[in-house]
Amino acid sequence: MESFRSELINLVENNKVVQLNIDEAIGLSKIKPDAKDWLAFINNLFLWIGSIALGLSCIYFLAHNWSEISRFAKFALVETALVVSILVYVKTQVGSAASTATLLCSTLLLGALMALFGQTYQTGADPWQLFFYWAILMLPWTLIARFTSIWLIWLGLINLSMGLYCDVNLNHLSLLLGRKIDVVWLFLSFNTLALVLWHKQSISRPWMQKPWAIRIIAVTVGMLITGLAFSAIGDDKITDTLALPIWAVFLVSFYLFYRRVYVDLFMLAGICLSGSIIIVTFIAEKVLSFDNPAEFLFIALIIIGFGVLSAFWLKKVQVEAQL
Amino acid sequence: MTTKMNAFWDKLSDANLVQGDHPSSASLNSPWYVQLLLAISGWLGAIFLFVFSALILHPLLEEPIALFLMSLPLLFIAHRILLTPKNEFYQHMALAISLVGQALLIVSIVEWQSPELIYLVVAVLQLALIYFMPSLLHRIFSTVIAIFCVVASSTVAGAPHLLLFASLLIFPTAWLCLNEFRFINHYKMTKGIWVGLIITLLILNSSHVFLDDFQQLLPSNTQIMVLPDWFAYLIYIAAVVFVTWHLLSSNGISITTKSSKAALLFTLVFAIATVKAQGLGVGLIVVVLGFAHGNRALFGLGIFSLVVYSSSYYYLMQETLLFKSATLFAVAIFMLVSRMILNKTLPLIEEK
Repeated sequence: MESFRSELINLVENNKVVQLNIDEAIGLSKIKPDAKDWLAFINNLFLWIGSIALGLSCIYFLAHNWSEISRFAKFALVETALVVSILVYVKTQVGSAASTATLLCSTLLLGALMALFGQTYQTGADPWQLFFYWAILMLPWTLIARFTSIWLIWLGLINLSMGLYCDVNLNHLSLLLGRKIDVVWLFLSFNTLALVLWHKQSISRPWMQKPWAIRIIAVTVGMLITGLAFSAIGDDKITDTLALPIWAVFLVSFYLFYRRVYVDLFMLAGICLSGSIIIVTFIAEKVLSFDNPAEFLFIALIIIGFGVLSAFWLKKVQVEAQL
Repeated sequence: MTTKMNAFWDKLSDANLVQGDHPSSASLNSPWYVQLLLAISGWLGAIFLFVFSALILHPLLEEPIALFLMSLPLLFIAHRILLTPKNEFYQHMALAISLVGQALLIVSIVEWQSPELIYLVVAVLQLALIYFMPSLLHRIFSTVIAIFCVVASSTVAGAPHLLLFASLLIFPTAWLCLNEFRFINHYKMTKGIWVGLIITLLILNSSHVFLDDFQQLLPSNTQIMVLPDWFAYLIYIAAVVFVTWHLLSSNGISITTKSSKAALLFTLVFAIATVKAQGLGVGLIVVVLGFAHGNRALFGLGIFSLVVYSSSYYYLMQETLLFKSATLFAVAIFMLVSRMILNKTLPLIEEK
């Protein structure tokens, strides 16, 4: 249901609506859900909270240091729960909220099974393998579910397993790349690929078009490349790494895509923030010596100036986009 | 003016509900993330301004009276700037100046013997700033700091009841959110307060994640007023039930109807089940408040807090994993059974 919430607030803040008329204006703005909306909302809330809490309760139960329950009983418990959740999925209508919630619960239960397997048999496997196999085994129902949250969990698991892998295999990627690389570059490459693929696939798949999901991946990419550029300046390795040129390429690419191809104010605000952080850090580290108090004032004015310029530009884009 | 605003203006105009001319596009509100970006710029700028002021006025820094006297004009200047017509530059410059003024004022009293009094004075200062500073960001900031100062003051004074404060905050937060348009002549002020209250509420309920036991950060020689745990639990339960009661009455549903009684009973059982996992209850309240007024940012914040709380609940040291598992299991079964009952009594045709 499309509401006029921000429009109503705008009018209220500009004194265009008086107190006497506010109830009628609220009614016309459609910001309050009707009985049918409430019913659907409560129904979904019960379903999602119930399914996620069920999956988590199973993980917590197995994580408890049990000595009274046999190995067999533990496996029976988690495998039965997993089978039941899959049976419930089969019984529910395909594509319904209930079926997706059941798959999410199954995903959590699968994680519990992986953890129990590693814990029981002390396989000697590194922790990264647990998360990696979890991601691999849940892939079939990630593909079936066509549900944003399950895909994001999958991406999170792959990121986690990559991080843990690099923790214990400090130089394994050198076989591939010829020299030791920073794990952050690996995260950046993977998440950038995920962002590009997500955008590409979302053109023909409406369930992938949720702005918040794309934004989560984009924020991850933005934080990683900004962090790399920040470290390059902070660690005085501007000429030793390609962080700054690659950061600039990312910034320009994001700008071109989210301004020229597809206007997204959120992403543009992120570009402004990243740009401000890196430029101010560069000036603070490389231009100023901070032996004069006026330099602090200079930096303060630069920060505020960037903020203000960003605000003017974003406001201009916002107005254009809504015209 | 945007097409959507035009359409809404025409609707209200046809019903004779608006006054004056069309608002201009310059008065368009920025989305929350743009405001956040500006807030970060303002606050970061303030840190450097503060260092600059400290270096320039170094000889005076050891004179509390001088610091105090310097802080007042800065706060006054910030206030005057904020009174000028809406302009992002001035808004953030004023915020930075105000933060420097506040910092100088706090430094001027930091050597007082009584830390609880210092916290209280800062809380009172923030309350005054909520009233006087006509800026949404400033009001949010001041609300958060004011409440944390009250909690800190109480903790230092010997009454360390973080969760009790968190539960008590649910009452004003829910009331203000559900009465968002009750005082539209003071809309900007009340909005700043309730947004600040929600942020504080979520931080307090996840304090074990962010603050690693806030109470232990503050020195407290004696605990003069230790209330039993059940008292805090009762307040939490009462607060959760209050939210449902208020939600029902604000939607014009009589408390005596069957559905109202069922909703209140459901809330009571849910509150009891989550009494030792209050972050779940609070996250859910924020989600419901967001939905109740079509506030997507609030809705998203509630979901985010639920995700953060459920993933950090594992590390909460006060309870065993078995107890936490039982709590989650009880919540899960209760929710799923409630859904079944709901679907039996009020069937919903599920859309694909």
